[in-house]
Amino acid sequence: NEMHLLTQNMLQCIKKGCNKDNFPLRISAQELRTDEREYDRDFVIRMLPRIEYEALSRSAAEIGVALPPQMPADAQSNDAFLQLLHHALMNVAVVTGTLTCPNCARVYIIKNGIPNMMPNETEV
Amino acid sequence: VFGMKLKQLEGHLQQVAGFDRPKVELEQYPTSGTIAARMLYTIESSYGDLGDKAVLDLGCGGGILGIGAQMLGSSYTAGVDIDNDILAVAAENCAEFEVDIDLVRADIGEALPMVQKDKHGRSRSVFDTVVMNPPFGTRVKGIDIVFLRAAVDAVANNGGVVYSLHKTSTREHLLRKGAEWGVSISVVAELRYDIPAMYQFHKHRSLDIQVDLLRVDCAQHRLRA
Repeated sequence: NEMHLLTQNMLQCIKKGCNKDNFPLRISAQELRTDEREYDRDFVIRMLPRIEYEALSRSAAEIGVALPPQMPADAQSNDAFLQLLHHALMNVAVVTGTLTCPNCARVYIIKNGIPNMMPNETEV
Repeated sequence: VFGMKLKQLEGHLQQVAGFDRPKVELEQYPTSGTIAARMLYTIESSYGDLGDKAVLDLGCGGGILGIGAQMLGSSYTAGVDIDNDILAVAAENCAEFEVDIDLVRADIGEALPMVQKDKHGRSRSVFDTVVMNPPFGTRVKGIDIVFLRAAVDAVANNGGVVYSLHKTSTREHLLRKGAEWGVSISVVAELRYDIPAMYQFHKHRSLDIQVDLLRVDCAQHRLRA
């Protein structure tokens, strides 16, 4: 299994009291995998208003995927951009690594592609 | 997309591994292949809520509902569970069935990390549909409501839907909750849910209980906290 950026784009620090600037969690990846999922244009267009694009762009850069820092104004009809976005959201994925809160520095472990978002884990 | 027959789906899902050693405190009752197939088949054939959709399974266990959702054409599927052991089983099941599900370990009772609140208190998530078989709340009172509310929060802002299994005896209570929250809940199917005698406190060899498949439509939601 693996964690795709579409999932990471919804994860924020859950530590009690850490409510500000706790997103996006910074990725440090030891093992990445790239899938070959077929480009699904309609799906990506539907996701456009649901993702936090600037956060995604920063997170993608952390695992070596370049996205424009701002969403292009013509995103919905910009096929080259949509393909790039699909690749970033659905194909590049983290198998082993960590997620670190940019605010409180709490570290969440990703093992076997599964991020551990339990509130009281002390293992690092 | 929707080419799979109910019998085929059931045949596949009966092969999905479940709990080796279920944990009583987590109410880990398995979702049988038969129940899962009927539930998912109804969701796709009657409502088209799986094909090409972003789907979330809360309390995913071995991943049977998510795997079935992928078989019926979901574009993206995520599963959340608190239990590391069963998540390892889910990961193996995904590999075996060659489906791709993003798994996350989290305590839904504490904080659901797949939903964010913006500064206006509105939720943000990418999901269209939640499918789940949550704990019925027989061991931990109210946990069924916690799951249902988390599921509603995961799709409300996208005008999505939640499909969830609950004991028929709790129906009136859940319908009242829905009215309180400003979402519309309907009973899509009544099912007989066979709980095999896995736990020592079960006196009978197995137990048939009456279960509702609820559909929570958040298209016209007026969510209240």
